[in-house]
Formats: sequence, C-alpha cells, structure tokens
Amino acid sequence: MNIIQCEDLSKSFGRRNALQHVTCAIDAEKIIGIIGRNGAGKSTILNIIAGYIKPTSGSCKVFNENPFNNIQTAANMIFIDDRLSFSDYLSLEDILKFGADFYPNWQSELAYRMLDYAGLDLTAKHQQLSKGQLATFNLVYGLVSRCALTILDEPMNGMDEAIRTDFYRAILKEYLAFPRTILITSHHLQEMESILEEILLIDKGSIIAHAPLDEFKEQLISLSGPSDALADLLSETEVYAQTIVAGMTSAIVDTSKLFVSEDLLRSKGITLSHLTASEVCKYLTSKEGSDIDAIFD
Amino acid sequence: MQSLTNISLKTIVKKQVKWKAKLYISALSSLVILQIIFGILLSSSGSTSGYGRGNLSVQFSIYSLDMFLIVSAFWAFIVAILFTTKAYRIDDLSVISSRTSSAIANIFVMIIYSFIAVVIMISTFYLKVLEILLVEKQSFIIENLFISPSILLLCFSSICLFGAIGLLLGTSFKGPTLIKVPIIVLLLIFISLVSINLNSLMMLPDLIISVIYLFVSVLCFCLTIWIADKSEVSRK
Amino acid sequence: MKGGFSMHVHLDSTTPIYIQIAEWLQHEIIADRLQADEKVYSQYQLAELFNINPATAGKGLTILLDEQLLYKKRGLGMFVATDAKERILTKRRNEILTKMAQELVLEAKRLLVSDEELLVLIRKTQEGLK
Repeated sequence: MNIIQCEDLSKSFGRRNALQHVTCAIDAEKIIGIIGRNGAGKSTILNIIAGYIKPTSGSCKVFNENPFNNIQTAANMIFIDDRLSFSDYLSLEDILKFGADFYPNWQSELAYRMLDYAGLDLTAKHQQLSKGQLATFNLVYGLVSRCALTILDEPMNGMDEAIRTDFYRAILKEYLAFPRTILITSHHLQEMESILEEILLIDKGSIIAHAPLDEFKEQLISLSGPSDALADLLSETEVYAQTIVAGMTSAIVDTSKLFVSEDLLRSKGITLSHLTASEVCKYLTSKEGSDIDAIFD
Repeated sequence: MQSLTNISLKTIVKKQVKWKAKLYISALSSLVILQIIFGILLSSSGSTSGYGRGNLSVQFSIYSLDMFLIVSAFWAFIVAILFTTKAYRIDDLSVISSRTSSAIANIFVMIIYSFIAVVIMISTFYLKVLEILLVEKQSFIIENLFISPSILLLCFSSICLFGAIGLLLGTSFKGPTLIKVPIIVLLLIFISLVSINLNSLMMLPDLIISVIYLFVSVLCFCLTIWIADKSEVSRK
Repeated sequence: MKGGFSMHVHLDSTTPIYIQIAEWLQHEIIADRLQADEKVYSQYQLAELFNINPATAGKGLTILLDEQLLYKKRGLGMFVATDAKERILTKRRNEILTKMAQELVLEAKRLLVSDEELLVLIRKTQEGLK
C-alpha cells in the first residue's frame, strides 16, 4: 500500500489551474522535500493530501483512503504551517495538553524538553510569540504528535540560523526514533538537503521531478572549457544554460544525454563539476533562456 | 510500516465538545452581561396603566420573561454564526478533526449552551424580581412566579432554534456555492412563512410550539452536518 | 541534544553524500579506527553522526558492501572485511596515482615538455625528497 497515491490529480480555483494532471506516489516512511517556486502548487497538493480541499478531477489516496473530510486520515496526519492557530485562552502549556488529549502517540516529555531548550515560556499565549518562536513551537507540536504522515510547510520560516540547524537535526532524530512519512517544503533546499531521502520538484502545477536526492542531483552536470572544444559536444546534447566569456564556455547539460567519458573530456581540457540540488532545481524550472542579467542589459 | 491509529468519530466528537464547551465560555459570560443590561437595567416594566374613577387610581406593571427570551435568542443566533467563522474553523484543524466532527461538536455545544442560557435567563429574571421587591419596594400580585416546565421548554426550544438557524446559515456561507443559494432562499421562505402565520402560531399551546421549534432545530442541525460534510477548508 | 553532535563532519555540497560517506569509512579503515572483522557503523548511527538521512548513509555502506570491503552477518549487521585495509590501499594507490600521472602528462604536453624531460624531473623530485 502506498502511503500517498495521486492519480491524474487536477485542481483549479475558478479559472486558475493550480495543479494539472499530477501523478505521484510515496511508498514508505521517508523524509521528502517538496520544492517549488511560490505559486507552483505545493500548498495546493498538500492541502489535498491533508484532506482540507477536494480535487477538481483525478484522485488522491492517503493510507488507501480518500483523505477529504476523513477522520481516520486525520487521526494519522498533522499539517503544520505558520497559520496553525489555537484558542486565545490557551497558554502554550495548555496547548500541549490539548494536543496530548487528541494524539495517541504524543510525547509530552519531549515537548517540554524541546521547548525548554528553545527558551520558550510555557505560560505565554500562542498569539504573543514572535515569528521565530511561533515557528519553533509549531514544529515541536508537529514532531511530538508522531503522526504517520507529518506535513511541514516551510517550518523554519522566521527562525534564526542557529536554531534552524538545531531543528533540522531534531527532525532527523525524531525520524530515527519514530520513522514516519515527513513532507517538508522549504525555500532553502541547501539547508535541509542532507536530511532528505527524496525530492519532489513542482513547477507550474506539474511534477517536474521525483527522485532520490542523489539521483536528482546527478541529473544535470556542469561542463566548462574552451568554447571550440565544447561546441561540438553541446550541439549533440540537451543544454539547460550556457555562458560564454572570453573564449571559455560554461554549460549545464543533461547527464543522461552525455555519452563521453570523463577522461576524454579532461583530455580536451573540459572540466566536469557537480551541481548542488538547489542549482539543479533552478535549472529545471527556469524559463528557456531567461536570465536576470537580460533585464539589465 | 507504522501501524495506523484507528479512532472513532464518537471519540473525537466527545473530545471536541469537551474542549469547545470550555474554550467558548466567554460566549456565556457575554450572555450574562447582555441579560443584565437589557433584562434588568434598561428594561422598563411591561406596561403601566393608570385608571381613575372616584379618585382611585391604580398603577400596575407587568413584568414578563419576553425580554429575556428575546435577548437569549438573539445571542444564540449571533454566537452560532461566530462558531462558523474562519478563526474558529481553523482552530479545529490543529487537532484530529473532520468537518463532520467539528459540525457535530458545535451542535452539541450549542445545545448545552442553550440549556445554560435558559438557566441564566431564569436567574436574571428572579434577580429582577428581587430588585423590584427590594429596590423599588413594590408589592406583587404574582401570577406565575413559579415558571412552569412547559414555559422552560419553550424557552429552551426557542433559543435552540435560533442557534440552529445561526449554525446553518454560517455553515452554508462557507459551503459549496451550489448549496449556499438554495439554503438562503429556503431560509427566507421559512422566515416569511413564519411571520405571516405568527399570530395563528402564537395561539397554539406552548408544548406544541416547543415541539415544532425543536423539530425545525433538528432539521437545521441535520442540514448543517450535511453541508459541512461537503465543505472545503483552508488556513489561508 | 548537543552531546552526540561533536562528531559532526562537514560535507561538501557537490559530491554525492553517499560517496563521501563511503570515502570516510574507507579512511577510517585505513587509519585503523575500524579494525578488520569489527562491526561497522549502522546506517542509523551514520545518519546521526553526519546529520544525514539514513537511506543516504545506507547507500554509502552498500557501495563498500558491493566492493566486498564489508560483509553482512545475518541479523547482526555489517562488518569490516578481513583484507579491507590492504585492498583499499591498493585501490587508492592505483586510482590516485593513475589520475595524478594522467594530469602530469597532460600538463607537461601543454607546456611542451618532452617525455624524457618529464622523467628527469620526476627523478630529481624523488632524490630531493629522500
């Protein structure tokens, strides 16, 4: 049984097509990074998975059931974003009791320790917290609930760098202690890359890529060398981006369409270098030939 | 594979009712304040007449539960609508819930609060009686100081009805568009029918009116759950 | 939370992480910090050590398993092969030196140095470092 199974999923809001014919599957407990620009459709697909909204067409199954308005799905799922809200009358400590009352796997002790570490005052109200404190509390709430499906939508938004590092580690340690399916969206892929198992890249309502992190990174490769040496090679393969400066060309190409060995390239004076996951995302989603420099030329 | 939790709708609704009844308590305190303002402080007596014949004038005032009931019904309607606003709906998403469980929980809370509202209503009424006795030092011809159960039931069912209509209205506002319009039209028809037949309606014995009110309330509750079942929700 | 974090090693962002893990493990074997027939770190331990996903750590272990530098004992985990250290050293010698030799020869060609001149240079360097 796949944990999440989307088949030909589409969602439109009026005339805006947020998701178009999305098919994907998440098959086991994993930490998956969901990457995409703003408006790409990340929140939409997460809201459908969480059972908050219905698809316009196609289907989505979570734990083999339709998640929409489904109490069984809700019992095994938690969705954390910066709009998580609680009654004005509850202090942080009360909120922890609130959560403990509902979620069967709730880890009270751990919650207290994490919040103590982060220096949060448990008598404060949720609405009184600063942006960073709010993000910290919400993330702790999400982690200690130990739901089989944990969705974290930009969980680090507002946290300062030091505490972000700590909490990426907290996510990993909690995952090691109690494996579950964790979907994390973030605009800072490089920070969280190391804890991810897979990446799901969404752009303009479609899934551009869904692969284990290493495979994903190896999709594109950077070649640089003398322009004449590279010219022939580039004409035979798919080029994602190119810059030519003083007779030297630097190009990003599709690895699967490159049929020469590294040694051969080196003998021609061409160097090969790997890209970071963020760079791969950038090149896979940018418009053909679009470049910020062009605006200033 | 992690073993999944299995939770019944009943368990969740119970938990939600428990928490909501506690957390929404400010609604009840606002009712108390409203009753004191409108029931005791602002209200003049029912009617005062003077009748003179042979140098004898009589002044009397009639005090009734009416004002208290109107305040309670109005309050129930507003509070019910509040329960269905975004802020409250979003809070439900922070724990295990579905639109159905939240709707059922809201209904139970509404019923519980209606019951408490009757208690508040009666208490403020007796407070007024005390006030008249002690402050204005008037004497009473008590027709019905003891409020009969059928009157109590009528109060409860009226408050409940207004609460139910409020919940239905609020829920259908957030519901799918195809449902929004028919419901509002239905309600308008219902209200116009009632206002036309109001006089004849009032002639019926209290018990029958209560039953009608309760029946319509249950109808509204069922429709509310049915609409909530189909509604989407979003934190944004 | 801070305690076990002290062994955090920095990973560079372009070489695949699982390859870096495999490299590190081989390094540990050469340095005798992982002895022959000793139990090697599990993917979960590596995940905690390096702050990476356990699946990635697992891939690193699999590389060494495929090269027979590690072996599996049913239900007990993975262990360092008896001859792992020697094999790694041999492999490294071949790989690294081969690569360096290639670059040296290519660069010499670019600088228009003849084969004989290059050999003389190498001899001189060896004498100088004795």
